[in-house]
Amino acid sequence: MPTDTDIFESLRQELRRGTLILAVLAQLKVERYGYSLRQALAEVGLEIDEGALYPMLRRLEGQGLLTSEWREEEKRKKRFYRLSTEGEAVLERLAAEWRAINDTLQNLI
Amino acid sequence: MDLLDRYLAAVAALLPKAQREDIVAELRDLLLNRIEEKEEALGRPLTDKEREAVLKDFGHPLAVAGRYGPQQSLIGPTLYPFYVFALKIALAVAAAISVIPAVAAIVLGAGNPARLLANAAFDQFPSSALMLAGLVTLVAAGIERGWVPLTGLTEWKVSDLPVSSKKKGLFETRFNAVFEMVVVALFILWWTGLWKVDLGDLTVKGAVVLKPSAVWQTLFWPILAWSAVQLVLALVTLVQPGRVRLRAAFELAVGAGGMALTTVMWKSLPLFTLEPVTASGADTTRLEQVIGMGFHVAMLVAGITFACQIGAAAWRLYKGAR
Repeated sequence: MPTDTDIFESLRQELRRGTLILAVLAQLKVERYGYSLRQALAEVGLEIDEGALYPMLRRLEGQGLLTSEWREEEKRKKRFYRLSTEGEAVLERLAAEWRAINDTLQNLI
Repeated sequence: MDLLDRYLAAVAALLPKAQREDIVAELRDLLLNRIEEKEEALGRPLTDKEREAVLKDFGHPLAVAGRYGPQQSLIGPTLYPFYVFALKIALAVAAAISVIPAVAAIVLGAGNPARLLANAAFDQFPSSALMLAGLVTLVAAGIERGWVPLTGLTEWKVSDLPVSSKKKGLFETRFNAVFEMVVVALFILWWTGLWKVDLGDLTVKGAVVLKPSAVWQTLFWPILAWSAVQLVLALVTLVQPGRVRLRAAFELAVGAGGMALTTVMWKSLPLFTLEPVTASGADTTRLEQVIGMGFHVAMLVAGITFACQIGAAAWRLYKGAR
């Protein structure tokens, strides 16, 4: 039998899932590699599990929203991600959608 | 090979070949970053145990590799309710095909009832249920991945849903279909001789012998074909009870076939003749008259039933087509 905490945690995860994609896309207006992206998100208060972040980056790249390239930095090869032109357009539309949802919810809760 | 290499090799073995090198290189960088972050916090290099803890914390190689797979679940949330429903039907079918033959064998006195029922419950049912559940799971996984095309889940109409009735719910419709399927299947097995049932020499109290007339030989294939159509109708009702017009078309075929068979049988009465063994000629004739009258009544009832079935099916076909 799930407890109230379990139910809350599962709903919280569900609520966060979509917004994290928006946050990742927004952070990748500037080129970053996975680890630095996670740190940037953490700095603004959005903790994301790396196990979920890296596959998400690949999915977004597969959908054409991100571009990536391998480069050496700090004596190690790193994969840098950045928003593609298509990604920029999608981010703009998603951001507008987010603002609309946010405005509506502000009136409800 | 250090722990990190071993860990990454285990993940790599589970990744698609085309992306393996790329993903592993990225994971290596990520894990080294994690280790360095910890070392920075502690102000010293990590021990082997601490490095192992970092890797363990990242997740089991199966789980890590699984996150990169295109498919995260065997059966997704959209298909899941249909899958559970199909599983329930599979279990009902498994129960029916296990229990009905056992009950039939008990009725025919073909074995020890307790043993037959125990065999059905602990041998037949588990194996049939597992086999059918496995099959349903395989088909559902195939649909989920698009290997098995299925338009029924998207191309459906509200007007095609079964008519709601307080007397007869959807569960009852399906239960009847399962029952009908099993009974018709057993009949076909018996009719074709694949299931041998010893009916003795068809004597009535040893006084007269029942002899089937030649019409049964003539009607062997028509009756087999008619039963096969009935089996398909039961299957359609079980799998897609919402296909009202398809079911009505099959019901029309079954009704028309039944009417044709009844007409031929009516014209060929008597269907059985009696040969006296110990009974007198007068008693045999009287018994023949009684049996003949019984068959006349049965044929009439069958004819009326089939006529009603044809009328109802034709109406549903017309109404459903509108």
